[in-house]
Amino acid sequence: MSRAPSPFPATGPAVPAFVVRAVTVLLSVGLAVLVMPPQPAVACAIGALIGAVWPWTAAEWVVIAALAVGQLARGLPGPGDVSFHVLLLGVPLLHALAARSRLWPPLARVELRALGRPGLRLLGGQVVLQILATAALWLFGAGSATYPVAGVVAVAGLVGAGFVARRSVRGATAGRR
Amino acid sequence: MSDPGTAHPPLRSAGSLAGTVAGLVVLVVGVAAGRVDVVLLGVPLLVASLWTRVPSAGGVAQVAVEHAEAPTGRVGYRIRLEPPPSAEALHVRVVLSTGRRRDLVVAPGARELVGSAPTWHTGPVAVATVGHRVLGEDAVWAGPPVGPVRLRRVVLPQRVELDGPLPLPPRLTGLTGLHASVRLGDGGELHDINPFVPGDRLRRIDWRATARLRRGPGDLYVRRTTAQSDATVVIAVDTRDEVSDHVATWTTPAGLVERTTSLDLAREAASSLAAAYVHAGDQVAFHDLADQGRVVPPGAGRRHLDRVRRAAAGMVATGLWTPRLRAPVVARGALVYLVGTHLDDTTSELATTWFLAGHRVVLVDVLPHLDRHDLDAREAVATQLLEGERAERIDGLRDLGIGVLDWRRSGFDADRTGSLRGLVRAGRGHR
Repeated sequence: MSRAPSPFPATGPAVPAFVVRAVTVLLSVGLAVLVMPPQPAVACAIGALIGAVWPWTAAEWVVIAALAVGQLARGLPGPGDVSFHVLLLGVPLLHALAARSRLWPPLARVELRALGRPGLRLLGGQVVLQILATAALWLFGAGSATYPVAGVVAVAGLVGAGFVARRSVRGATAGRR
Repeated sequence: MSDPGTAHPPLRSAGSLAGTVAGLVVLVVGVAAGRVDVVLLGVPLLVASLWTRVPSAGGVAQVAVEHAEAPTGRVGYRIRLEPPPSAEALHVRVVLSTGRRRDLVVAPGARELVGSAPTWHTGPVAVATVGHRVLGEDAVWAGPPVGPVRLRRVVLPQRVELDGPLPLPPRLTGLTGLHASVRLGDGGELHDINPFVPGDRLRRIDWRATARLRRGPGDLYVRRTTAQSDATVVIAVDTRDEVSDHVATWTTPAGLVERTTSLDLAREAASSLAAAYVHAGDQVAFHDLADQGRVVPPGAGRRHLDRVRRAAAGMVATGLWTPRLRAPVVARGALVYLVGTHLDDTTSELATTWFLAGHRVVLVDVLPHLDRHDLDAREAVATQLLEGERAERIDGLRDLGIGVLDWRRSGFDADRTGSLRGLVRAGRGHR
């Protein structure tokens, strides 16, 4: 027996928004298990679940901050520390997924094409970030002879320079118009 | 089309603010602890939250909803979307006439979304209602909710073919038509052979009859025929209420969704009866009893039928419960079809008034067969009382001589045709 056609308009391939929330929870749990001891990892998992079910609580960003700050307990990584690079990928990805799924109703159908451009932006940002992180850890990470505060200042300076450069490009473009 | 000029400016999203706070916390902790790895984790959060600027104005898409082609039994709609260039995605909410809704998050860029929904009801229908919200890059900002933009259509009722003879009024007015009148005139069947009197037309002289019957040299006999005449039919619809078969939902608007209602049946009955009589060469008038502005005076022909069908299709329940309905002026000798649920005495009083004034009246019953599910004990008793009173009222009108046509869903058009034949037999002998 053939199903009656849906009365709603067809879009491209899509996923329900609650699937994205579920992915966010799984990612949070995975990262917590990777970088944290068992008890804080369980707390993070619960926080991620709360953030997915009740997004207005912003619990997801508490989990993100906990994952990042929990790095303090692990010790300074070296340039070859895979788990740190995974964390460096996971934290911005968590923020991207959580920020977007907070704007979507849970039963909304999210066109996969709508995730394409943000995915490419994230990927581009990750390329820069991972290179920057590798360089910073090589210079200032575990086993290096350089004082680590210099690394902090260098990274902050690079990021600040990036913001200034972007504003300058924007201003020049606006002036030309 | 949505109007962007009235929208509020876009706002920074809560996720962006939360990301900024989280990024700052991580950055400060990293700097305080002298840990470059922690700083590196905080930087992308700040960049993602602060890199994209929130536009000071705009943030609204151009959205229009239009009619689209659809298979039979469905109504099509087309949603045209033109988001602003700064949009990362567009959140679109589509609500159908049945109340079902779906949220879609679609990619940016001008595009069209096409859908078609089944039609449960006839008459004015809000096919699709569309609202939208623009989502900015990196979910940093979101535009205000805009809408709704509605597509309204008037769904014409299906016409039931009423085969066979139709009931006629007791007096046929007019000088032209397709029905044989008992009055003498031109165009009809042979009435009698009568001696020639001044005023008779010479071409009516029947020479054979004259040769056979004459007694003297000046005697002449003429053929007299009956006149042809048309009937005047008035279709009067009581639109004060609109109820479905599910009694438990009579007090809620949700009860009308995805169920055939009394007004759907009334539109079908009015449209079908008008078509049958117009095709028979008669004149048809239409009155909406609760909306005195919705009147179509008597007329005939295809264009007039379209006017009547449009008037019937445009009927909506007024929801005004008034015990008194002003009886419209009805042409002398007209046949009146009084369409409604007849849940109170108002329509039966009207029917009686018209009947006693000499009109032939037929009550058309469009109350659906009642479904008593989900009724508690008190409601069940109240429903039983209501049905009993209504049946008694209709029986009283039947005893008076007013015909009753049951238009409720029986599944077979032949049932209605059979009912009409019964009314024809009961009403033989028009003048």
